[in-house]
Amino acid sequence: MTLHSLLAVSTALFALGTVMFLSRKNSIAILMGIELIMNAAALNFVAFGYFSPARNNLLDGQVFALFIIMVAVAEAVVALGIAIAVYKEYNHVQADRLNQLEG
Amino acid sequence: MIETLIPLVPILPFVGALVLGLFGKRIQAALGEAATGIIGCLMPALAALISFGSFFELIGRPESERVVVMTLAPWVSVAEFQVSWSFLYDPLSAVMIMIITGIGTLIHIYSMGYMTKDESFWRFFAYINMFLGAMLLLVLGNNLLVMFLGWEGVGLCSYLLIGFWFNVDENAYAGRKAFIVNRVGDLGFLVGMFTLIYFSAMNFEVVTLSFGELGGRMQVLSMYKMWGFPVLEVAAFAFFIGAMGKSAQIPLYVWLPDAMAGPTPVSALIHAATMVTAGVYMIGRMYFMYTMAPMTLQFISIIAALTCFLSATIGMAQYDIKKVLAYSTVSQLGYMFLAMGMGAYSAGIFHLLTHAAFKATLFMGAGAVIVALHHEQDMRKMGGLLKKMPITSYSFIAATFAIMGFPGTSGFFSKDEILEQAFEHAPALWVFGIAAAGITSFYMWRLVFMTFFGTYRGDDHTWEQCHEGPKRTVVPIAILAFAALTLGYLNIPDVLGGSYGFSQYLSPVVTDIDSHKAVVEHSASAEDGEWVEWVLMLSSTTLSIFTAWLAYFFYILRPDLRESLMSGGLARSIFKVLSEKYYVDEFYDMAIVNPLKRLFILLYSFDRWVVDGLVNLSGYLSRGLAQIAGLFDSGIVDGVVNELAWASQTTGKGFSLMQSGRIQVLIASTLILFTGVFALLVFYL
Repeated sequence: MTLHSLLAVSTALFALGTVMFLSRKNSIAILMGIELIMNAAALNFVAFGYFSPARNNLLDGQVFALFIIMVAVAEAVVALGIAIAVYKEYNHVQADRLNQLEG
Repeated sequence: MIETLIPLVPILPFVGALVLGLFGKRIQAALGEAATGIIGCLMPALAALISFGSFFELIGRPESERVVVMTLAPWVSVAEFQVSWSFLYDPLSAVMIMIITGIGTLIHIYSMGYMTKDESFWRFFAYINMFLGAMLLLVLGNNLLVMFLGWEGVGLCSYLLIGFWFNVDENAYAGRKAFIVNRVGDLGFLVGMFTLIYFSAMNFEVVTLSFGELGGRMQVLSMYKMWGFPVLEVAAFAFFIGAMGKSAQIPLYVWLPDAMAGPTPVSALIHAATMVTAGVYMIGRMYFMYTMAPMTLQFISIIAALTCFLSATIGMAQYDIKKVLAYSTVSQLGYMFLAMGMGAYSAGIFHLLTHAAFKATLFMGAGAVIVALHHEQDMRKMGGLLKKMPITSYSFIAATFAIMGFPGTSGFFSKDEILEQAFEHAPALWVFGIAAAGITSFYMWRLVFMTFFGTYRGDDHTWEQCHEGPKRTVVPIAILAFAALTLGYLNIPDVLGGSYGFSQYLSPVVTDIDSHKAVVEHSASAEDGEWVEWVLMLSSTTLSIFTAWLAYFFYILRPDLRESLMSGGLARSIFKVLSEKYYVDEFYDMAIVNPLKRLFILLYSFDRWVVDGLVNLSGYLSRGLAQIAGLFDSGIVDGVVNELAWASQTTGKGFSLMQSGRIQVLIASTLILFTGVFALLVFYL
């Protein structure tokens, strides 16, 4: 297990998330894409933390990863709540059709 | 008394003029003519009272205290240039104000009769009061500027009074002519004054124009030259041009005969007794300068002799009674200037005094005749008036004796004095003088015979209505006639056992170039001089009486002889030239007036076509330019602004497409941008 293989996985994850985020119309799917991107970032943190040349504080990366998971949870709660509210209002969660605030 | 009352002398008539000028119309409407006239006469009468009272106080004083200067207020006070409102009362101005207020008052009273039933009665008195004030200012002024103010004032009043009946074009023209000719002279006065100021400023700390100080400065000024002539000659000459205009000397005399268009009292007061003598007075006042300008004096005497002779000859051939007297006035003024030109200032002033008396009498008499004959001025339609108007006639004849220089009358003393001086200085001028004396006697007696003797030649109706004027016209004439007969005894020459009292009286303020005492001392023997004087006196008297007899012969005894003589070729053409006044007016029209008029037309057309054309052209040009600028403004400037607005609007619209609110597009573009920038960084750094 090397840093490169780990970075390759996380890049793949980021790419997948980005594509999903950009290509899907469904808000839920977009949120899922975002989750993938965040996880790619968290994996980066952990990987760099693990292979860091500074040996004295090994847990920096893991701590960041934990924070990211926590933020992701909170974000999922808020975003899904919004998604439910939007659905109740419009009967759909298609992101490109939610353009009522457009100037 | 003098110090307090003399300043009132010019002020009182001005007050009268102010009251009558402002309220005269209402006064005349409310109180009638008599009240207006009395108001008009009151102020001059008061002034006359003061003048005569002051005179007797003045001669009571010792000679050294006879010059009184009264400074009322400062006038011009600019750095070194100091001029004040101040009056000078000395023997010369005392005589002058007595003449002016005395004769002035009499003529005011006379005017009440003459101007009666004129709707502008009040206006006449307002003007003539103002004239009196201005004339007194002229005479009493202690410096040249106050004198000039009076000088201009009398010119203005003369203009107003000549054109008094201005609804007749001819009168208005005569007024304008007098005014314009006088302006020519006034320019000379100003030039003289500026010359004195300029050279005073060069040499002295303070420039004043008062006569006393100027007199003291003459010695210094005489050392300078200007345009190759001594400064005093230039200044004296310039002042004399002023005098020429005001006192009607060749070549500026042409206005005076035309000035007869005014009411006769005006002719008597302004154009015979007072205003026209202002030039003589001015030379007398500035004698200190003229004494040091011998060339100018010579010029003056030559001009004066010519004026004296030529205008007398014109007088022979006039039929208008006032025109005869007008040319006579010009001629008598010539005598005064002749005296001035020979440095016999006191003789000139003395003739001024006597002339004022007898010429005022003559004019007032003529005025009475004119009124009696319903404004008939042509002597060919008069005659035999002695029977109808005895007092006027006898007064007129008395004044005629005075003007011809009949022994014992005032003219005899004053004219012989001048002729004697002329004989001593320049016999050639004496010839002119004595010839003029003979002619004067001829035309005056011609006038008397045509008017008062013989048979009446007008229509019967006028003859029956003709009568002596009211007391207020007759009494002043009689008083002045008495003065005309007797005033001469003020200056009896030493040959006749007198002592030149008038000259002695004036001598402290006006010193003749060679006074009589000096003449007597310097002549080879006093008896020799006396002998010459007797001969001169006799010759001029004989000549006058002879020409008077000629007039009697031709106009009473043998009119038929005159008729046959006049029908002849030469006499007739001479008479024609004389009656047409040597064609001087025509010559002036041709030489000055018409070229000037042509110049005006030329200038007008230049103005009309060239100047206006230029203005219009520049107008058109700038309008065209403005149109181009307008196009530029609306096309290019506004276009640029509009285009800019359009461009920013369009780009704004274009960019606003980016603000679609589609989060995915935004993120995608951000990602592309980021990737691009990152790629650039990676590849190029």
